[in-house]
Amino acid sequence: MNMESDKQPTGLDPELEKSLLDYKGNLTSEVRVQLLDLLHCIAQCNLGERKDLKKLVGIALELLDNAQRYNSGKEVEFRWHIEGSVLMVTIRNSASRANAERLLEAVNSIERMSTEQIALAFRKQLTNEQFGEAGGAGLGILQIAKKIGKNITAEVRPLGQDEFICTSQVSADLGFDLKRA
Amino acid sequence: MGPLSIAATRNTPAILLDPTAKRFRMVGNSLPENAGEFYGPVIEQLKQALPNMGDGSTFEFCLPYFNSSSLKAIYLILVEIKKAMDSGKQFEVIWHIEADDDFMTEAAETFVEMCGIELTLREGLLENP
Repeated sequence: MNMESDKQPTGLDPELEKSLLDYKGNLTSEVRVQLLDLLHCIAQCNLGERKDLKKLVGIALELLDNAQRYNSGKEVEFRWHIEGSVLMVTIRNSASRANAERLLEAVNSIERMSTEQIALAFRKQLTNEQFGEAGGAGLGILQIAKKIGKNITAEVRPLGQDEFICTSQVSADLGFDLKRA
Repeated sequence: MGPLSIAATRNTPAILLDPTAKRFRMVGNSLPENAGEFYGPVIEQLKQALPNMGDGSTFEFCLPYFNSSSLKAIYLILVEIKKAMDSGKQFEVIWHIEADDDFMTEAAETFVEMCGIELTLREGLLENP
């Protein structure tokens, strides 16, 4: 699937839109670090100095982390863009049935939780001292929800017998209209 | 026990544990793909070293970016330090923050809330040792 086909006009100044990020390719640890550096610079250019800048980049980091840890293929698609006053971060990767189901369950369970329940689940997961088989802490989605609320969606579609395409998207209200900033 | 010294990489922080110098430091981004694998040996060595670390030891954390699996690892490190402090050790735990940065400040607040540990917030980043 080509993510470009989903692209909606943002209404941003063309100069600003140029600084948004679309990436399709391998996701190694080195690529992840380079994307993080790049995003930090882009966020500074897009959003200027703001106290939550690294929190916003941190959300992207969590999605990239998950994709790298559970990706069953070679490539991922990653997109960071701003529509009006909303930052949208999207990642698409392939995953096994078990990992795809785990992603859906994580996102669906967030949807069912209150803010207090999210905080409680986060605390429980942080303090249980266990890491998953792939070295994750099971905190990524909870961490995002704790920071920006329930603005997380996940979509899973079959790709093969035991392989699925997972698309996760997070949206964060930036609190102002970039077009006027 | 000799000091533990791990050089920084693009994904992992520099870590120094030197009981003789009464010093523990973590400096740099912490983005390991497998935090359990990276931090497990550090936590084990810290557990062994803590009883031998004298009063006045300092534990410094300067982590501009870290992923949530590192968050758990740092939590586990702080829990061990807190246990030693609860047993009577006089340690100082310093958490470095950048000016106007919610990411590092809120992480400190999370640790204070979750571990009940007292952190000294210090503005300004450290260079890799």
